[in-house]
Order: sequence, then structure tokens, then C-alpha cells
Amino acid sequence: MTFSPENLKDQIPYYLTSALAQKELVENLEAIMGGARSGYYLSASQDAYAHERLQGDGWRGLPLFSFTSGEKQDVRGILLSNTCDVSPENDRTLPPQLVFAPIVRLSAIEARFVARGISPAQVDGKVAAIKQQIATSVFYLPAGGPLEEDYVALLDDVHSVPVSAHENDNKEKLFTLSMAGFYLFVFKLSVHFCRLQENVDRSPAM
Amino acid sequence: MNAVTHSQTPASSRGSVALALGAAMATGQPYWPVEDPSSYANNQADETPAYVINQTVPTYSEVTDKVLAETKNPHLTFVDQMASIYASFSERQELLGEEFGAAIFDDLDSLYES
Repeated sequence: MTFSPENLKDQIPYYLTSALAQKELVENLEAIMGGARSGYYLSASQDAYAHERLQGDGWRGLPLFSFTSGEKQDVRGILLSNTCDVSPENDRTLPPQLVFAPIVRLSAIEARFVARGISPAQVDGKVAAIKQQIATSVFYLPAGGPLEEDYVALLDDVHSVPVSAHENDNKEKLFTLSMAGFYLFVFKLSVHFCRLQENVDRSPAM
Repeated sequence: MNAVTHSQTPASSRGSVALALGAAMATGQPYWPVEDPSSYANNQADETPAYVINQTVPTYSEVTDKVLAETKNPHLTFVDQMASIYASFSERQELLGEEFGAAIFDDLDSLYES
């Protein structure tokens, strides 16, 4: 299926059918895509999902096994799983799995760029690209709410654990994406993982 | 071509039913109308036949036009806007780059935070 206005029309959820809600989403989406740092998250006072797992949420206490060290550690990450797939309200025959990508400080990876000897101009350009959400494998998360500084989700570093493994003492929600933040996140996931324009001709070799 | 079809119940039939219902209510007896084949034949003559209006000249109303346009596809503008935003977003994407990726992934574990 190709992405087209006609396809998208069928995906509009009920809460986006009013002209006001649509206008607000378009404006907010354009704003954060234009570099606005606010508008990514629901404010704590307006977050009706403060204790629920939703796609795009930031959480602490996500267990991760290091492929390098073989050790398990709890990390901060962003949920890639679809909300319905991890909802405890939905019946399922198999234990639900949480798919997530760790989030790390943008300042830490910027320091890595500098330490590697990349020129300051190139580093500045790459950091600017990350903040503008142009780098396809990185989702930028500006400081806000419990995020004391800018973070990024590394979409090439994806992990999966049973939901039950996240029921630990370190579990804590960091943020819930706003409507615009969520749409941008899903856009990013679709571009990064579902690239139909991959430029690979899969026709059988003659 | 526009066609407007109307069918009307004969006034005489409606009157009969109303009278029967009124009488039943007055006597306290439940009434359920039962079709009488003989009266049906008589009513056929009184019945106004269904008719069709053939409208050959199109009418135009700005209000109707606007309402119909919005009803046919109320999300057209929004959908177009979202598709445009997605297309713009998708076209602007670029790879992180080998050197930058290596700087991150060479020692990934130390970047994690609890």
C-alpha cells in the first residue's frame, strides 16, 4: 500500500474529526517540525495516561541485556510497541512483549562526536539535524518535564522484553508524547523502518 | 437527471384507520387493523398513484454546493495537509552518517542511563 491522502483519510481517529482538533494538530506538528522545543509532551497536569503504557512513552526501569557485556541493566527508553499490544486490558494468548529503544543524552553523543575528532562545524551541523528530526535513525526528545536536558532515542538500538519484566521497582514514567509528538514519532518510525522507496529492485533475476 | 419519487397513503385509508382506532379506544377494546380485501379494491380507486417528477433543468445553490462538498469529504483539507507534512518530513530525512554512528555505537552501554 502506498501512502496517499486517500489512505490517510481512512486512518483518522474519532478524536480528530473536528475541524478544531485537526487544525491544532497540523499547527503543532508544523511547529515542532520547524524546530519548536515545546509541544512534544503532555504536561503532567493534563496527562490522563500518567500510569499507562502508550506508544512513544518514555519510561525508566526498562530491562536490557547488553550484547557486549552480557549483563542486565535497567535503562531509560521510549516504547515502540503499539499501545494496544501492551495494554493489560486486551486479552491475548501469548505474553505481551515491550519493544523499546533506549534514550540517551544528546550532550553525551555530542561529546562523543567531538572526542572522535569530527570538526566542530560538522558536529554542530549534525546536532542541528538531530534537533530538526532530520536524522532518520534518531528521534529527538527536547528537555521538558522530567527530562532535565535534551535526549535522543536510538532507533537502531531496539530491544524487546516481556511486559512482566518491566514491573520492577525502577519503573517510572518519564513522559507521554502529545498528539503532535506522537504523530511525529510514528512518522519517524515509518520512515526508518518501513521505507517502501528502498531503491532495491526485487524482481527475479533473469 | 433528477427524479423525485413520492408515494402517498390514500387519505381515505388513513381516515378509516383513525376512526377504527378512536372507536377501539372509546370502547376499551384493543384494535389491530386487519386488511379487508373488499375494501382494498375500493381504496384502489381512491388512492393517489405514485408519481415521478422529472427535473430537466439543474438548479444551483451555493449553500447546497458547500454543504455537499463538505459532506462528501469532510477531511480533505486535513488529509492533504497531513500527507503534505509527511511527504515533506520523509523527503528531508538523511542518514546519521558512518562516522557519527560509530561514535555512538562503539561504546553504547556507557551511554545508557537508569
